[in-house]
Amino acid sequence: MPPGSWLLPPSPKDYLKRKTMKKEYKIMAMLMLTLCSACGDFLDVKPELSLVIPEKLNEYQAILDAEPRQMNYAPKIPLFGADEMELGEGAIPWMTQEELTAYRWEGDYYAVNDYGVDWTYGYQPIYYVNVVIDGLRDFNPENEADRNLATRLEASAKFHRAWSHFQLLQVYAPPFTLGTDQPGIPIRESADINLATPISTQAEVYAFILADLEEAFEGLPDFADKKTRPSKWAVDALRSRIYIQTQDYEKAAEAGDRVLALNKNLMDFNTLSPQGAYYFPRFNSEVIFHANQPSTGVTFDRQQWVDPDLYSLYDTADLRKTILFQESRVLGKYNFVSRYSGDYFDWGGLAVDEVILDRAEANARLGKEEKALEDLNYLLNHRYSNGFTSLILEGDQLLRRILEERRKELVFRGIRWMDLRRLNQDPEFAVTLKRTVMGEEKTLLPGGAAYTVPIPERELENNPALK
Amino acid sequence: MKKSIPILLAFLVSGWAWAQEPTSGLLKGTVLNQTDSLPLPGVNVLLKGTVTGTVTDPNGQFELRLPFGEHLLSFSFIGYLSKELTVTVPVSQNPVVMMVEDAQTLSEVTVVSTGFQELPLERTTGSFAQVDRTLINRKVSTNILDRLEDVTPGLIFNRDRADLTGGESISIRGNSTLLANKNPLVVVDNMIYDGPVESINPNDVESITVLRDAAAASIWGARAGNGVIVITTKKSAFSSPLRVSFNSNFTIGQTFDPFYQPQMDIASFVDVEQRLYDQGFYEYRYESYDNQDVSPVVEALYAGKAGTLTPDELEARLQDFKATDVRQDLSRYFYRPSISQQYALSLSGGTQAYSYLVSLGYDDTRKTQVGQDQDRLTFNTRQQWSIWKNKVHLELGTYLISNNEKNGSPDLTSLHPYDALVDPLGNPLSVIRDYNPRFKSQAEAKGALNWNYYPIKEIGLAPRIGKDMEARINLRAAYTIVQGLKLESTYQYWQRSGIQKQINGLDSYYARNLVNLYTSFPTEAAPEYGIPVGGIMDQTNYRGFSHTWRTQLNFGSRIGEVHEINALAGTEIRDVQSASDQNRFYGFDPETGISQAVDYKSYFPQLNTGWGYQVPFGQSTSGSINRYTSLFGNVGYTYRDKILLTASARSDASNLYGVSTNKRRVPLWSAGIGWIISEEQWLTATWVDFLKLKTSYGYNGNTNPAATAYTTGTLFGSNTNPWVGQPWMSLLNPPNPQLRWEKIKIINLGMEWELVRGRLSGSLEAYRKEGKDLYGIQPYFPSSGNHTVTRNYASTRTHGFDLQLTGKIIQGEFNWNTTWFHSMVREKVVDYANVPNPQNVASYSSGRAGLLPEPMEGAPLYSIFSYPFVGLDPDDGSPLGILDGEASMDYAAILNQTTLEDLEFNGSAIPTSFGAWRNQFIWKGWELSLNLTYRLGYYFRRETVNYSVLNRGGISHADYENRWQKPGDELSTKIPSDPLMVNDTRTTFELVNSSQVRKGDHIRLQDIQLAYTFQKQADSRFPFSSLRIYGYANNLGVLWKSTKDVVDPDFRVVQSLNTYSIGLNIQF
Repeated sequence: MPPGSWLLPPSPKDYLKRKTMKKEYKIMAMLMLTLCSACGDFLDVKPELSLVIPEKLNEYQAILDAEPRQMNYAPKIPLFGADEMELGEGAIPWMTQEELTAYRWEGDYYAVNDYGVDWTYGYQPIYYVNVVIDGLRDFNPENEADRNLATRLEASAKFHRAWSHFQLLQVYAPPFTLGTDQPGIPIRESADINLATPISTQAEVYAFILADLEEAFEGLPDFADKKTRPSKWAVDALRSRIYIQTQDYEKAAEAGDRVLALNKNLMDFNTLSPQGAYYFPRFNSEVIFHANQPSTGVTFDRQQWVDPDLYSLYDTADLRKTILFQESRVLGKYNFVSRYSGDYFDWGGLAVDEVILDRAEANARLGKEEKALEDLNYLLNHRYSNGFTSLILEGDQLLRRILEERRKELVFRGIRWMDLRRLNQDPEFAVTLKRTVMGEEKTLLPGGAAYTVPIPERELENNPALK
Repeated sequence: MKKSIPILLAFLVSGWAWAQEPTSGLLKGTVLNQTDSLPLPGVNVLLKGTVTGTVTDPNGQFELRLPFGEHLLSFSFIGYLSKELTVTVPVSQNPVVMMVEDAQTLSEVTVVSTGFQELPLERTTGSFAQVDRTLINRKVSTNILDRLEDVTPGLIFNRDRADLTGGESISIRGNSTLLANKNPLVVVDNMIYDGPVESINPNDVESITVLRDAAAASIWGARAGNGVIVITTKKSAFSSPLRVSFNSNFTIGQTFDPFYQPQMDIASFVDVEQRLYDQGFYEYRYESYDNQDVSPVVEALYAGKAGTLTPDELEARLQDFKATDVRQDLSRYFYRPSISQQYALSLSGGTQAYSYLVSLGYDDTRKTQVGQDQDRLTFNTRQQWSIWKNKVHLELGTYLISNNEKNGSPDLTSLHPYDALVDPLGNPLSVIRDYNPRFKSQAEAKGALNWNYYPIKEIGLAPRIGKDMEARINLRAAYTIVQGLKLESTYQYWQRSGIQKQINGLDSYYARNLVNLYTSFPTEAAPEYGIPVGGIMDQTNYRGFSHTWRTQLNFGSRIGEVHEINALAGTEIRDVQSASDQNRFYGFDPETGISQAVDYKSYFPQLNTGWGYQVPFGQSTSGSINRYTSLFGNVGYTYRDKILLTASARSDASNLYGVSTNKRRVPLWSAGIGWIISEEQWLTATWVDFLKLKTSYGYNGNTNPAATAYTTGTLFGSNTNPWVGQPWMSLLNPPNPQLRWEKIKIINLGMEWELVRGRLSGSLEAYRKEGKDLYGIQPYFPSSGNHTVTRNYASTRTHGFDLQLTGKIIQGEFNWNTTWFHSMVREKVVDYANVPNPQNVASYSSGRAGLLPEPMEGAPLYSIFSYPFVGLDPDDGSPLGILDGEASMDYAAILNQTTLEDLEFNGSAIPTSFGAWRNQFIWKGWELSLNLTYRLGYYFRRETVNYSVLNRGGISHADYENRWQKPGDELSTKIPSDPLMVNDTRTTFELVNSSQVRKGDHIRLQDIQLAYTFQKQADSRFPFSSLRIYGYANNLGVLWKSTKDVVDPDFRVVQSLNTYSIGLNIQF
């Protein structure tokens, strides 16, 4: 039978047989109906096993646990911009334009259309948590356990949102200055990507952050089961950091009190034993909330040294000198090796030592010198070799020592950058930074333009609210 | 006689007035093919000089009621000589008409298949390209799609395109999508084929139809956007004797040549490494925390510095490196001529009510890289039954395919250019890999496993083995309700299951390396192993299946002589599922199959850094389900055999997530009209055998499963979340309810002709395609949380033509047939939602992988733009661009400030014209055929030296030797000087300026076939009915090219290897 033979025309008499065909038509029609009525369920299965439209609590938890999608992100520019790190010439070719510009305090941060790593990965987790917050709005808990979990998830999301907005401010907004209201950054409180938001003032952004933290505090447990997840402990540690940076020392001290009341244990550096090349395990006992800086062009680099001035601040009885640093191949240059991350990632989270120093500084500034001194000695007792004799300091000397210890204790965490932005406003503590990059002397004056990183081109080009 | 009244009524109802004589008789007759006496269905039987007539049924029979008296009947059928017969009604004996095939005109009726119906090409309005069995068999290859290359107008195989991955190699009439599926839809035996197309044995294929326009393809709806390739496999005819056919061939291919890619001299590269060493570039790496490796040259230089090598020894060592080229050892030990063998046997035959075909095929391929082998076994059966007075037609096809693949070739990407793989005595040598040898030997001294990497010993130590079985069952039942009305239902079940194994034996580098990394030495004597000493096996099991059920109602009726209607309508439902699970076995012993437990939770310090890591977890599962329901219909109407009208439509719904249009049924439709001018009475020119004009209009679609209207995420297991240790979710594309399916509007205008008794034939088709709502990735403001979004962002307009000319130039004892096709494709972007960024526009084509083209209105989607290049600086050999009208070396400013208008537009990056000219010479049993192919009107950016790669210690292009070195060189070279440091901005400018843009135009001798056929003479004792011996040579090389400084414009990176085949085809 040749192809297409059904095309053969019928003989005329066949037309008359039509009536007898009704049965077939009926079968046909029923068949089609069956097919279509089945369509509804048939097409409702999801195409990929791993693909989900997040709407369950465990799915929201999975979004908040997306550490591989920068949910626990700390920016990288603060390390390049501050006076903690010195880079050898061999390291320069491996840096990105953004990193190099931040390091030498001049030049263009961005090539055309660059999106700015800290900017983009600062806002990405905000989008993620907004998906959770928007989703939870429509969530109907079936039981008490669900209700509690939903509350905790919403609180966690708000903590992350506050954390990210705060980090963005430290890089892309001018340093916070008491008594002025400077431009901040766009506030994002919706996951709707079609919604463009303009730049809010710093007062607005901080108010937003603190409001989020307020709600987060209510819904979170004292301690989290994972140090990548937020807790009341973490909320107050973040508040402590925020109040220090916004120079609200009274509130900083209060927040510090609450943090340390929960747990103020420090590692005793006398009893630490090395774990391979580094000393600290992952999530050591001082870690309150974990965050990593991204790996950069110089992360593995042997020519990433600690700034010699910083290194010279440690005296010989200070165990940090040998635990945190190792001599590099270049004579007289030292590599920073032991990080709170427990590996090669530069760390950027919240820890007990930071809060102790926050509270010490706040109390010193508030005139509660005894309390401040007590915190200082408590920290140093765990950092100096056995037989440390408590310091007795007061007034300006005490404050200076606390600030020096801040610099020595919180190395490579991005905190020095915030402190420079803050302390430079006080002529007493202002410093001029100098470094040599490829044979050229570079200087960053207090209040210099490089303390504020410009908003990336891609944002300016594409955000209708900024045009 | 009573019967005549209802007939009369029927005709009246049909709007026919037919005056009938009171006395008439029923004439019954049969039409047979004179050569084989088989019935000829579909023959037009006409009462000469009237419109009264009928057509023969499947049994070649016809009935005609005629008035008493003498009548002249004419019988006509495409491909046969018309015949006239005088009958006197009533007849004494029913006439039997023998028709003779018209060898001079159409040698055969070209039947094209849309996958829903088979149609004579002459009766179509759409654009079909047909590749018949002869043409399919002309080439020798194991992949069926290869047989379409260079013989199909409008279809091109893309070569060397950075944005394409394997498989996305065919474009039909240009490109119509960026992000959606780029592959044409492959249909086998009327159903969408879900398996890999490589599984199909070309020996089983009868014909291939390529559907190029909307009228042809829109019945495939949302899947038709890239064109459709309809493959029809062989089946046997009813009433045919047993036929046995055997085909076998042997192909030997050229050995891969590692020297094909131009590379700078080894000596120059050693000098560069030495300079970088002097600049302190390797400082960081030489003693890095993680004990990274440095190259052997750098290792030697440091040894010289430390005094472990004396200056003389160092010098001798460096001279050795300069004189060694790893490519020599690679040629010798890793590449070989490829060999492939094909065997195919088939048996077929049938009775009046039953037919069968059984075929068995075996292909074995030894690839050019050592250790890579592949074989395929296919077993097909196809049976047909015609029962219940031919009213029911049943078909059952079963297809079994077994594939085996083995790759025992080790990874060769980490070799250094001057590595020696054997010592002078031929013993394997180890090369530096992953970690430096100082660290490795220390570790070995402590008790780690041997950590050396011996590329030659690795051959076969860690084979990747793939085995799969594929089965397809195709069941079709057709019931002729009344003649002309047929209900047809087809069900296809397809299944493919397989296993992929990578067995890294204990001796393999992979296993030793991983075991060592997780080894620690708490005490001298007893190392602790995070991963047990032994092999590591990864195993993936996968299974996929699909059910397709299509039911359609076909209607075909000829109403008298004037009107003919063919229509079909139906539904299709499809369910395609796949699942796979992956597992890893540590401490694996291939001999016994035993593996050992590991601790996935604890952190083990890595031997090279001391940082704690968990043992890599190798378990995962995945699954997918794709479902579709479709409604389709097609109507064809023919008026007086000369005016053709067609329309077709389809709507699909699927479970693809998200896009609201996915849920809504989107109807895609087309309409066409044709006019067979040669059927017109007024056309009296006898030299015109056939002439048709046709045009069509309609839409095809394309889907993008990634586009979504909801927030969707992918869940990952806790093993990929080392910090949290919990499952996590990555959010995918942000929701965008406005996303629409891509649509391609196609207008086609064509002409087909056949002249001078079939001596000259051809077709010319001009078309315009408009790609609407193409998806693209656009930069977005990052504060939204997404720095890119997927949107419908561009529209394209493509126009072009496909011309095919066939001439039987000499006929007789000696035959010369020639076929030429020429296709032109002009694409341009007509609408783009964004202002393109000049740097992105120029970067596509810079050779960076994974770049999507940035659309530019008025230019082709794939085009080459470049920054103006005005020579080299006479003082230091830096490339000069233009800034504010002046020559400049301020590359950052040039890159950032050059406007779109100032960019040079070089042209399309894909051929705008291509074609092939095939000549066939036949003399007695000899047959010689040559195919010349060409591609014209396109540009490429030639590979050149990349100084950023070089100054980061990687070897680069041979152009390095022609670089600017001293003032005056700028007059003779365009290759810039070595900046002696990494300068990414300058490198970017070098990659996007116009200095290396070249024209791709070329002509190549694609292939030659020579065959000799012995035909059995009537009384000879020759044991076969025919025996054919053939030789075939493919990829013979470029005959002419417009650019002199590349070997082959289309194969610049990976060479196209020549192949030579001999084969044998026997018919019993």
